[in-house]
Amino acid sequence: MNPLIKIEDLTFGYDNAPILEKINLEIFERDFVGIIGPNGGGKTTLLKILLGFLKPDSGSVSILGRSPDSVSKFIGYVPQYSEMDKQFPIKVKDVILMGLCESSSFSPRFSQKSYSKVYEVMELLKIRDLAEKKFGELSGGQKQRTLICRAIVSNPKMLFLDEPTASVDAAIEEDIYKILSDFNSDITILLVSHDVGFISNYVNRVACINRSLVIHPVNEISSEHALTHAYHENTSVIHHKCGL
Amino acid sequence: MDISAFFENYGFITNSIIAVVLSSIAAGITGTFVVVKKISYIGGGIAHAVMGGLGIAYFIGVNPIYGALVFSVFAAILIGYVKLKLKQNEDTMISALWAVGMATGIIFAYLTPGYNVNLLSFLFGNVLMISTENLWLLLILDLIIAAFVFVYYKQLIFITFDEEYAAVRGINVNLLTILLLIMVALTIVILVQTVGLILVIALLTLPSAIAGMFSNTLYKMILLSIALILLFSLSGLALAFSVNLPSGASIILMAGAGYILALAGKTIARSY
Repeated sequence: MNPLIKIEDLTFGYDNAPILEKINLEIFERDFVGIIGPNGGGKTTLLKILLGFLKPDSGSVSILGRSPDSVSKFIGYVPQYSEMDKQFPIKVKDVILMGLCESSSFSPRFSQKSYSKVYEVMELLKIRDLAEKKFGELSGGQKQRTLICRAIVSNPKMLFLDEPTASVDAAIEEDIYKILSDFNSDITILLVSHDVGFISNYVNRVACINRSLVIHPVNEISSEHALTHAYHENTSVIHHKCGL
Repeated sequence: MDISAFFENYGFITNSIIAVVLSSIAAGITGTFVVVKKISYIGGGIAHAVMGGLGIAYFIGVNPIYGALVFSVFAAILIGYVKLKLKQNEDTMISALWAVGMATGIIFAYLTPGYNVNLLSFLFGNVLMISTENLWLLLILDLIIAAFVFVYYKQLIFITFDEEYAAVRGINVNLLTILLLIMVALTIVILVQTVGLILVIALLTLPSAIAGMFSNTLYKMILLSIALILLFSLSGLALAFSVNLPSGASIILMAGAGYILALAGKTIARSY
């Protein structure tokens, strides 16, 4: 089986300070990969390279056999909502409509078809009743669901998420992972997180990244430690095994 | 007094009201983007850089508004390039354009034989003296701005709200950002006529900031901004006429008073 995403000997740094060194990673169709590691370990940088925002210094990255910036329309991306402007005058449904925005659509309005698609994914994420609300007035969990809606409304082949459960409480965190694992039957998911938490219940592989990268099949984590263990103990186990 | 005699004597009133309406439309559209994208410092930089164009135009004896056009668009492109391509903090470049533009303008005005007092009207605006030629130019610039925002409305909201995701969706963020800055530049050229380059930034921020307090979509914010700017401009103009005050400064004081009132009203409403 050909990998969907293939990263070979990827190296990247800012001004000679290496952030990622000799990264190798293959992601296959319907994988659910958790990328974990400490802050500053290069998780977000790797995500930005996969999205085509940054170019690797050496090595290669291909998605669907092509360069990342030429396939971005097949990618759904969920950024961290905490970086978004709370004051911005925009309704929830309009945020999600952005997921259908094309560079060559020259009308100020979206089509009826776009709206029905938006309402469809809002039903799926159980936020249909928030459509007319201002995005900045939502709670953290509601914002996260809105951004997931925006990412999946265009039927992407893969979904990248940057810390989707940062600053939401444990119940919402588990909820979000459940939703994602439902999507996983059609969509390949790559999720960046600074903790293991509930991830190990849902992902099939974990990539530990701290300048270099080590892959663990999920059973390796679960066999070492029962999943009920606090995540601190989980992280320490993985750190130990990677030798990072 | 018959109509023609009225226009002969008071035609400047009609002209200034047309100028105020045209500039309100441009300022309402652009001001909304300046406020939500938080680029008022870029607006200030472009406005002051325009002084260089005005000075040189005076020196070589062409309509100063063309000098303003060239300099504002040049400044917008330069700031955009530094921001997007060089990925440098654009603050230093803005400050440099701000100061060098002003200095260039002052030097050329000084070198122009028979120092022209009209230069002062570009600093503080004098809508009562606007020429018919400049009114036509205002109309053309207005149409360009309105057409641009109408055609690229979705994409402009998108790059303003979430630049990164816009890029993922394949939208040409760099090109649209430069075009947005050029729109700011054109609007500044319009507003230099009415409130002057020093006061431009107040008219681009205060009314739209008020509109933002009461809007949940961008087009409502634009329409409300236009209405507010019309209100402040016409009431400012009335004040200027009735007690013989400078028009640009009167308009800005109205906008400032409106902003304080809105802020106070909002705070009081929230505490009850």
